[in-house]
Amino acid sequence: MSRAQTVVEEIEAGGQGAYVESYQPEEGRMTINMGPVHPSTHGVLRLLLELEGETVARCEPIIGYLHTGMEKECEDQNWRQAVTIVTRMDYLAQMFNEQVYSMAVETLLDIDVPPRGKYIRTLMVEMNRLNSHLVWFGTQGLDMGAMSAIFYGFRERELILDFFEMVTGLRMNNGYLIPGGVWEDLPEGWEDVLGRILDMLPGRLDEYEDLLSQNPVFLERTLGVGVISADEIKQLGATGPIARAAGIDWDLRRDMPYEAYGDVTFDVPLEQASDVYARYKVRMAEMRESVKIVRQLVDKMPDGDYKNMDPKLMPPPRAELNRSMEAVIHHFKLVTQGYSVPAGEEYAAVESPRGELGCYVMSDGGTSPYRCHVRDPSFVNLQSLAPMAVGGMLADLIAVIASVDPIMGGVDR
Amino acid sequence: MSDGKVTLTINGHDVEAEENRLLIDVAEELGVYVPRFCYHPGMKSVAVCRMCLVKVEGSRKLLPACATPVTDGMVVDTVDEEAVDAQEGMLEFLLINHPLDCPICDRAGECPLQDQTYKHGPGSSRYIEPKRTYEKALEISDLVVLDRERCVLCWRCVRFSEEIAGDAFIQLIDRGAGTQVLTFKDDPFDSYFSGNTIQICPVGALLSKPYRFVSRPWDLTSAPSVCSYCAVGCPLTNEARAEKVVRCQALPNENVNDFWVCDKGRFGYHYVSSEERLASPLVRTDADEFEATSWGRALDVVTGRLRTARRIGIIAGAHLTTEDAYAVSKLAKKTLRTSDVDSRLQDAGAPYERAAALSGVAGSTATLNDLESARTIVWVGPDPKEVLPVLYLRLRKSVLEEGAKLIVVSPRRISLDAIATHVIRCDVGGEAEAVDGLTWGFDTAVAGDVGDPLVVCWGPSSPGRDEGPIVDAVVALARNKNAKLLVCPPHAGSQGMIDMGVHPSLDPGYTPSDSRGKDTRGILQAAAAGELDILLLIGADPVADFPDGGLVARAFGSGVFTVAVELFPTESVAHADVVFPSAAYAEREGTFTNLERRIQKLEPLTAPPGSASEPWRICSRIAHGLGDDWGWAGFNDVWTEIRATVPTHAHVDLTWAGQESRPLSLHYESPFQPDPTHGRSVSAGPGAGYPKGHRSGAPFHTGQNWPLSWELRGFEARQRPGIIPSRPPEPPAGDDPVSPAPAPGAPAGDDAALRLIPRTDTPAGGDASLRSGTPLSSAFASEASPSSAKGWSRTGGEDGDSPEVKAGKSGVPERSGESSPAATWHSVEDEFPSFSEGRRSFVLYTGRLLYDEGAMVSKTVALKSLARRPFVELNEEDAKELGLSEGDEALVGGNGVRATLEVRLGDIARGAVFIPYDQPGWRANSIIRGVNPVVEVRHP
Amino acid sequence: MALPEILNGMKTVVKNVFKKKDTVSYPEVRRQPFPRYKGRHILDRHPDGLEKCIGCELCAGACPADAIQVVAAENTPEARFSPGERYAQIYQINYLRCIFCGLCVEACPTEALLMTTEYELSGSSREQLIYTKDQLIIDTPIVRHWTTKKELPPERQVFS
Repeated sequence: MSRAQTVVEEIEAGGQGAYVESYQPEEGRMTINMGPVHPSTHGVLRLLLELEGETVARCEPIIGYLHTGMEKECEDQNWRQAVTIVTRMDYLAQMFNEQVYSMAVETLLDIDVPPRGKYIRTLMVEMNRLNSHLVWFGTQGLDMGAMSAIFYGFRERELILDFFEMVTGLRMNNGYLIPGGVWEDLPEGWEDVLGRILDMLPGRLDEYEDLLSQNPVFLERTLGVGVISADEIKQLGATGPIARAAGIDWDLRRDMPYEAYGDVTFDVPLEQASDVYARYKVRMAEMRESVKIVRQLVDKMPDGDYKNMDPKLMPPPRAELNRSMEAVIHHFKLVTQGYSVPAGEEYAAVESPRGELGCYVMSDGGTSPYRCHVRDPSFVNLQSLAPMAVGGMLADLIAVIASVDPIMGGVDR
Repeated sequence: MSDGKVTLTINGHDVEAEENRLLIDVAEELGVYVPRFCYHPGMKSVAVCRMCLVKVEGSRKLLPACATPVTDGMVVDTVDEEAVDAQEGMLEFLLINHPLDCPICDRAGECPLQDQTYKHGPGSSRYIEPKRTYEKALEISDLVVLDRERCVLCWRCVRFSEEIAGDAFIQLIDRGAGTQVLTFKDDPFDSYFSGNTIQICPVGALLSKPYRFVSRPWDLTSAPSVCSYCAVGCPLTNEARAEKVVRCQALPNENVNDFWVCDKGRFGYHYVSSEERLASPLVRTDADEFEATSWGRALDVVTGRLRTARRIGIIAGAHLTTEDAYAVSKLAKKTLRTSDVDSRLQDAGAPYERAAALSGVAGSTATLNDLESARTIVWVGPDPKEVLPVLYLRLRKSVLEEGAKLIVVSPRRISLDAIATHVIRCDVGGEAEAVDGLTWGFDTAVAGDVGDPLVVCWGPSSPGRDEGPIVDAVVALARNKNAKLLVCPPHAGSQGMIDMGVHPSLDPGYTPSDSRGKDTRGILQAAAAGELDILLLIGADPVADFPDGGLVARAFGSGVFTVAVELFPTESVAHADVVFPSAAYAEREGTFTNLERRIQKLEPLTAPPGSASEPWRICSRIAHGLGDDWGWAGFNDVWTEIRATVPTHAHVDLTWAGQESRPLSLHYESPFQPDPTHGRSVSAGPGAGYPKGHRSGAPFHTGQNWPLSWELRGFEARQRPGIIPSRPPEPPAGDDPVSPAPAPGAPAGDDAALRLIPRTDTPAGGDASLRSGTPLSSAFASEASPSSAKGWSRTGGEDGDSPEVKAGKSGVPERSGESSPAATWHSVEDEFPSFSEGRRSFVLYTGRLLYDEGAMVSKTVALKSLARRPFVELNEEDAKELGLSEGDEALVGGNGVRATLEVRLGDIARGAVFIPYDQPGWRANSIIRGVNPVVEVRHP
Repeated sequence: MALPEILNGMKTVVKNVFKKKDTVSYPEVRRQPFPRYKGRHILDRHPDGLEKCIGCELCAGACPADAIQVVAAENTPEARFSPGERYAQIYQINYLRCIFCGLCVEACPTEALLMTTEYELSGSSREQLIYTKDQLIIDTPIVRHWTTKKELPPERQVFS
């Protein structure tokens, strides 16, 4: 019986809470609580560890310390306002949250996004992926003792955030992708700013590789560490770079194309070793692929509307408000009450930096979501942490956590 | 089809409907909403807005759904391209001249024009020319603001004023493009029902002045409730912004109020959030001042007194809920073991228990719906337009639309006279004889019109007078003609009080008490005679409401230990020793029992001020302090007990009394939202709603967003019947201890002479001093206790020199502020100068007007200014004899008090005067003495 | 040995040591946000001095965080604040709740409510962060917490 199955059975036996309450360490083992305020747990993750010497005999992630009820909060907002809530879930992949929510709502509404809107959305999420992976690079390096990594990673990330600020007005939690398109068109001069970032990034990625990829200390701490089999990954439902580092060739962007991904070509990096180093390699390669995708999108960027201009969905242009009664009424209804979405339920999924990000939206026909559940890959991937860690050294656990790259905002929602 | 049903197809759904129903209604019940402006289910169709055009197979042109009755085999398509195009075109026309006012318009957000434009209208405008303009925001009355630019000429307000209210106060004037809605130049917009035009206006043309710019729909939390004023019990929605009630709207209920509510109910909510509300218990200190204290201490003081007290009197107010009534009844009859408990103040002489002679129910056997199926309605009582306004609308509808014949028996002209088939103008007190005339067919002209089904309506009219003979006569008529009886007590809680046994001779469920206690008058007389140890006033204000000012003054003057449960520091509270703050109707869960005994539920909306609490809870705590633990923790516990102990209410299931109903699942079909493949379709009628208000505050979940557009509320309301408790088993004939049935043929009642007028003495009362054949003049001269009258007349604390007056019993809470109306009275101290020539004594006939000086209305900013000054209404010939004419001032005296009032001439029985009971500045109960009072009127 | 690899990494570090500094010494040096930046709100006026805000409460209705409170009142000939019948008697934005999503600005039908690039919103008490109409209406200057010697343009000079 695999380790994953054991964990699942234990949880099913009495629920996690019951399990934690009745927890008694085995004779000769030492219990350590790692977190919830531990710098290397990437947020408020608590790990209940059982050690035999320095070997991790058991690892139990305990979550909920960042629970803010965002899914429930969505039910209090109208469909348009809920974008500002979902964007705060996985705060490093904010645009992905907006995108997947918008896609689900659009399917319910049965509306299309104009091509320019789709391209802008795809462009922004790919930049967001770079942003997210840069943070991962920084923290992975930092956790391995490479202080420089976080400086460099965050330095480049700042440029992407600047670009976000230029386009959306905000650096994080943008609320830029909305059902029907995007909030505003790309501003003047966006190509220059973006172009400079794209020109610079591949060189910087080379520097990162120089810094870490062959570094013996880094290799020592990552090669063969945190190994998990592809079977276990499938059983646990882990997706994204973790799965691809185990040779599972699955990427929603390529296998179930959405938005503008059908129009661009890119590779899906794969590794077989399924250790921390393999995940490192996959993510580094993905960043290069993202740059490739964005370049293609910039080149192919179509003209036209950036959002669906249905007057029943989008407030009218501002100039109309001074002359058209219809516009005044539609503006008033849309900004206060919002559109209602036909009753039904819908699941949409995108490939976020951490794996399959899904959004399950249910409408009762009203003006606010009846239910908005997000399948956050951080939450699912976190379950694979225990099989990776058990049997390894306590110090290696730090490397493993960084390679899983969980975002607690997304885990707890 | 032969059974009056037809089958038709609407948008592909087969539906069976009753013949002659309108297509628009049938479609809506199926869940297909047809847009409309002019159609209103409460009024006749005129089909002027052309918004509801639908495609009917076989018809060359589109048909208006609001004026098309369903026929068998009809095939209707409301979302046909042609129909949708017509609807969109109509909206474009309507919007051409509509001002760009949404951001400043109070209706915006819950506006049918907005909703339907959003759902059915074009997305942008092709019109660029300047719009028609009028002067904005005309204040056409103290309550209503008119903006003509916004009007879409749907005729709803005009039709309401003509068809429903009967006050023609608004009309469409001019023609063509210049058509505008306006009031008449000479007639002000003066109607008791004007607020309904605001609610039915499909745009923001008619708006409420008190609500102007106060709130937006998404700021509001709402809760269904029932009007706390009169006994009709119109369902309302209360709406609050930031814990303050800012609006009330009629909640339509076909069984009770149709779609309407009077202006008093609609605008009379300010008192709930009044600054003057009592917020903590008060105890009188040794220094004769009120001191705010804890509940524990105040309860200790009260229970300490109650433990030693042997003679206890309890007077409850008629604005309390059914649960409060049960608690008061239980406190009195179980815990304190006294039957000296009563709730009748204004209607002190009304023996509701005698109505039980008909069917065992001390109340109505008819429902309001019975009025509509009646062939004849007999009205004996006050002017319904003044005291029960929505009942007036129901009567009007029954007469004018359903063709019932109305026979009005009244000593003065009332609003119903205009629509009555027969008006019997009797003397004051002569109503019984007139009713007997109907019973035995003496009056052949009228008797011919007394048909079956017959509903006999009776309500106590002149406050305080003995209505016994009238009730007996009315019961005899009902029994004789096999008619149903509609008993119309004055206030929202009156019937609940009787049902729950807050009555000296009735226990809960109309069971006769073993012992007969003192009624209100008896309790006050006992207090005045010093024969009472403690007086509990639960929501009662005898100073203002009891129709014998002198008796109340003497009662309080005797220094009886008084406990008051009240909303406000009323004048009666000023005399109390311990005061408990009470929660108002919008702050509590509860039920009101209306005049047809229908139980309807109140839901709490705001929190009561300070530590104010429901009266039933206060009663339960007092009982607990006396060692009798009732075990009531909440509203449901009270009802569990009521169901267990009151046989008539054993089967009352409050889920049926709730104002909440299951949402209709509407299919919303429009080109924008093609019927989706997922099962249930959109349930948002015109414009769904606002998520915030519904989710975050409202204590109930309709399943739809709330507030709803009022159009939908109309249809929702029909699902909500309220509940009428069962009747008690019929008592064995001839064994009715409450009221022996009068022998047929004999005049009802025990004293035929009672009906003669004028008459001053009381038949039942125990007060010997009042029960005199003393000539009126000598009554003036030898006032029984002038000093106490004086003391009372000053209410304030400054007259410590009067030994009879409970010195300084007036450390009234500072908040009461206003000077008591008593201050304007002339004291009899300076000897009422004996009338010389031109004085005459008259029988006094009083009655409330809609806007009066009651504790709740007078705290309501919007209505305060509407109350008329007091006046005296005289018969023209009487006036001529006195040398008085319309508008003169007359000196009116009685009970040693006199006042100068404006004279009005009216159609009133000779020898009688009408004086409104409680108008600002002067209260008529000061001149009332005894049961059937007489006053003198003379030229000043 | 692994020395070459380590030296390779060191080379990267040394190369970057001599690059231009990427950090900004805030608050001595401030960075100017992009024009679209969603910062502190202002309430605009008409050229004739009347307030553009008409107290319609659309911003409050659109706000997902319930951060805005508006209480409207009626203009009188004696006290006229805005064109038309209605003006905002009370206008408050609670910056403890505001999430700077910009939906309020989108909702404003008169373009009265705007967002500036001002981002220095801190305070030491709850009251300080509930901005009233006096603080939001435009003729009072935007209070800055620090003055700075130098403002950088929005785009960083890192590409040189």
